[in-house]
Amino acid sequence: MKDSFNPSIEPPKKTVTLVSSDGYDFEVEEEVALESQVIKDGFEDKAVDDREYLLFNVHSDTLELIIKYCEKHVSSRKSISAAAASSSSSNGEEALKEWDEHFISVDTNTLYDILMAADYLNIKSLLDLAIQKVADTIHGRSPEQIRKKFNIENDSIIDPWASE
Amino acid sequence: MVSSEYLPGDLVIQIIICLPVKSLLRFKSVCKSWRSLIESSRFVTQHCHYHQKMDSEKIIVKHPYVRIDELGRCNLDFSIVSADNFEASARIGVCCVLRNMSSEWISKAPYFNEVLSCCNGVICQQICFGYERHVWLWNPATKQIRILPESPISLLRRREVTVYVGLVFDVKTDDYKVVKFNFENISYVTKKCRVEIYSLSTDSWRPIDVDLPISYIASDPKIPYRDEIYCWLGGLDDPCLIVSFDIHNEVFQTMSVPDLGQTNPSATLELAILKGKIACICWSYSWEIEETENCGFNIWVLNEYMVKDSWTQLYTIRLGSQYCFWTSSIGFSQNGIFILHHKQCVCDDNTHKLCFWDLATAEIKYLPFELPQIDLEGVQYKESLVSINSTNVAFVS
Repeated sequence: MKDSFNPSIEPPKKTVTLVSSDGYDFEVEEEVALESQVIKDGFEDKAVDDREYLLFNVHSDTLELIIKYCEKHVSSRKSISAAAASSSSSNGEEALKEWDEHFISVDTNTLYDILMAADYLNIKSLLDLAIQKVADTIHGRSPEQIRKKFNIENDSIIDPWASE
Repeated sequence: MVSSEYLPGDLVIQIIICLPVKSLLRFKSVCKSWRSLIESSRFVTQHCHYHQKMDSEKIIVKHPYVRIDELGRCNLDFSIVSADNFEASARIGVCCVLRNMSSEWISKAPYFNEVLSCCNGVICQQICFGYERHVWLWNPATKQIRILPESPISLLRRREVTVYVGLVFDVKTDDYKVVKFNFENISYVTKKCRVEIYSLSTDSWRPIDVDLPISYIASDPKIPYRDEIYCWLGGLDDPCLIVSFDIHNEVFQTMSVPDLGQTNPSATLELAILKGKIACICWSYSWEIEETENCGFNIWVLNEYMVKDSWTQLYTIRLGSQYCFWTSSIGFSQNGIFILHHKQCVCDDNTHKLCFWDLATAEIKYLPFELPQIDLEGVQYKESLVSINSTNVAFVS
């Protein structure tokens, strides 16, 4: 299975075009795009020759990452079920977990962009992954750091943690 | 590029649901809206469900000794043990002030001290000093303690009653309730069973009118069967009966235990919950050395709730003679590890260990440390934010 998007090598497959907020076209395989529940829900209503989606909220930098994630998950699912069918042992799920962990280890801004895009496109597994990652990065913080991070004004009268 | 300040509120809620209790207690002081969110019962329930599913599993083990300090406060110790790698992850001390307690109790050992049950991270515990009986709730994660008021029946007839309780969550009224059986001696042979319910929302006991055909409780799983339902193994002399109670509708049901056929006459039964189903653990032992190989546990599971034809014997565990005399079951972990208390006797040197028996692979593992205890008790535990809403805060070491 190929790991990155490169449509010229494989025989032609059904594709859809995703357009990022800054105007770039991404042509991806149908099954990859259908990882997004939002695209899946609108899919049947669209004409076959008009499979283009304008994603006003997703920047091309983020969309590239999202597509990479979806492609990996589609291909991993196939190899996991193939391994199960031939009843050969596979550590596919473990390997995918490791891949996910590596994928989501990004800087804070990129993490928030992925989180927002996964929410907007409704990609459940990616949303859960990003949410857990944000939670992991904030759980040890002080209330003051949290206020800064989420841009919250301190309206508490008593702040027992202020001295920390 | 977006920055963090634009994260919409529903995403922020989803993020903070993933946080452990310790972080959330600290984040209450972020702002008023975070505080009211974290304290709202809807959030507490969602947080509880999320962590019941996602957190690694833990067992809370009670240490047997109670210390009364010079201020008359009662001190108890617990260990939290991971059921994934069987390592003790934390030791918690709890200290509280009980009714009618004073420093004169320092020299007197408590007569009785047990974990009664655990539900959504709240532990219900009993401690008795003479005829003084205290039942309390505590949440080790939030450090809240609430000592329950004495019930009318205990007050009237405190010398004659034996008490068993179970803690259950009533989803429909969003309330935690304690069910209490009072077995009152009418004569040497007859006992009367009276049932009372404590509700956390009203902080009071209320008797319920029920006529149950049991005169004692033999065993209970220490956790509810599910929300609103708790089960006990009770008996009227012999044989045993399973008694289940629906806390919301206040309805009891009884059902027979599995048909054990011709088993060892000294077999004892215990009730447990195995992967969400009611299970009966049948423990056969023998004092005859040549029969010790037959010692062990048969584990029965009730596949359909309160359908007695659905009892199925799932596991037979033969422990071998070295385990024979001094092994007792503690229950199951959530993912089906059988937890046993094993006492090793070498001459006069007794050691107590928790052992974990994997039902799927028949592998046995020991908790790496020894416990100097005679009445070792443990129960499935996952931390929660559930508030028992009291100003009485435990001192935690």
